[in-house]
Amino acid sequence: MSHYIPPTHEHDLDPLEGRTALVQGQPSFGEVTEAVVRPIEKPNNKIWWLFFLPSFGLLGLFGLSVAWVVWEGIGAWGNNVPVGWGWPIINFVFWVGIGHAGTLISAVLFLFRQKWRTSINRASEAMTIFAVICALQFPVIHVGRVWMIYYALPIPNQMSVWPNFRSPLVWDVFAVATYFTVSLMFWYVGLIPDLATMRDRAKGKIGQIVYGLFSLGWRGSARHWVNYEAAYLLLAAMATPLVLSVHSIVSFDFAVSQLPGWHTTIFPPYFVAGAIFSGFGMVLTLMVPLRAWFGLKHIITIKHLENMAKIILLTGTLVGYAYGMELFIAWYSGNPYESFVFANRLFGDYWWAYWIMTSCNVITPQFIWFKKIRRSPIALFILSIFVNIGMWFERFVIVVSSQHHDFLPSSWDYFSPTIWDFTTFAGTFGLFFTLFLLFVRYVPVIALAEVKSVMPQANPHYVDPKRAAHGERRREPAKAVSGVVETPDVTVTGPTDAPKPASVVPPKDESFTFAPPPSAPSSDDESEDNHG
Amino acid sequence: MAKPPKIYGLLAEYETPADLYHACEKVRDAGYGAWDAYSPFPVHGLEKAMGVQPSVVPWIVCALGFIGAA
Repeated sequence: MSHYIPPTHEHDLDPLEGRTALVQGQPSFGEVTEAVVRPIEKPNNKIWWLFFLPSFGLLGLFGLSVAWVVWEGIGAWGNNVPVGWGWPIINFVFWVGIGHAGTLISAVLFLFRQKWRTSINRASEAMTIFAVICALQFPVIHVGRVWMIYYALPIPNQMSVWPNFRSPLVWDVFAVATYFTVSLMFWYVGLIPDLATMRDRAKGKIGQIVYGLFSLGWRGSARHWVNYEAAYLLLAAMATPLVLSVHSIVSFDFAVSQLPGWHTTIFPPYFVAGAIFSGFGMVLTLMVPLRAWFGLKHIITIKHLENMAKIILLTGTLVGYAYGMELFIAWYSGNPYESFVFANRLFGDYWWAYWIMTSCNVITPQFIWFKKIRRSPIALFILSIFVNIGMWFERFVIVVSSQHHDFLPSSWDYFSPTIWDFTTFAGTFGLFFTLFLLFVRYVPVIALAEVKSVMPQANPHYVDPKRAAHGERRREPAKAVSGVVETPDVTVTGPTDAPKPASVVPPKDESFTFAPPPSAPSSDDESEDNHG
Repeated sequence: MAKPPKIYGLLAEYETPADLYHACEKVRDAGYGAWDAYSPFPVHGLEKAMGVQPSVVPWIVCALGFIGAA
């Protein structure tokens, strides 16, 4: 293998793969750790509180709204016949959809060996979990008598009261509960090595205990890594079908009913594409400020943003196709009810919602064709806000426009949300951002172990260009042999995690020698080899 | 000549995964049994360099999963 010295371009290239390096600026492993843990160890408390207080205030508003809705009954919300599913279901689908990007990044991209996922998977998975928590609030409160929610689960009881297993709403209970459990497991398993890093770095007693408890005694042994990676692969394989199944089942909530505008076979793929679209929108909304404020632009690079933008372009275009196909089928089916619903969507009472949806979801992603735009963080941030708005309106259009003019003209009505609809929805943003801000404050926002493992230096075949430039064909001998340790095991420690490897004191005893067991041949032979 | 101190174990620190990898190959080839290598991230192929036998954990997980203990 020849000594390959990476060219010093504007963008660092990966010396082994020749592609743009995923981590720019050629930092050492220790420097990556320092950059990622800095917001936790030396936080900018002013900015954090500036964001946390409003979020926490909104969370309080959420508590207030929920208390009122539970006290007064869900009539406090605007949903009423004929629009029985008002904002609660819109918001549920909105939040669940957002979660899908995190699962796609963490599971699907993992199985496809997309190494760039490592910079963004931690925060995206956190976003998934928090979004699903927000989503779950709505159906739970929407049942009205929250304290009876356990009837949604098939719990054996004396009266043999079971949920209706033929109802997609029950499938939804299973789908979302599975989704939440698997997402949490996947996120936590990924966190263990990084929590161990935090534990080892923790100065205070509380940090040592809490990070220590949650890192489950992780030490980074090579034998553990083998099991760990197998478990991670299995969890990725389990999470991957969920990317498709969860929102398919959410779409069944609509598609299995007999209502025109809902009863269509295109719903599952259309909903999944929309979910990934909206989720990547939210990931960009979170990542663009995050990478700037936390000084992580060299780890979450423009290339990462560009890749996410491309997924937004793809899924957004799929969503646009689904909109077009819905209209086409409404005409082509010759079904007067179906065509009425779509004419009503486009030009009826809620025409404004339809056109907000269409312009945000169909036109916005098309800007990403332009390279200048998809490599500009500010432009992507603005586009992502439009995606978020558009995808909320998509659910509004689907839920409200099909219900408010159904089969019976005498029941037709114009749906208006109440103030409590607004406060509950705004409150879930408080819940979401409170959780997310606590996450960025106490947990590494980037999967340290995973990012390091895709850096070129992590490959055992990598040759340090500095050493190569000096014509050093000989490997450095082990940094030190640290004398007598009170353990019968020979321990070989891996690449150091410190920014500059601490100089280890050589043994003071002059007579110290590396004495292998008599049966084994010498193992400290550091002779020249050809691996360089 | 003074009697050398009794050695219970040895600890060596390497700067790069490549160094660790080659060191592990040597320790493996030297025939050591009770030893381990630690790294803050998975070094791929290290288990081969160490000569670690396939883990039994997946079989336990599989068995427990099938009997519903997962």
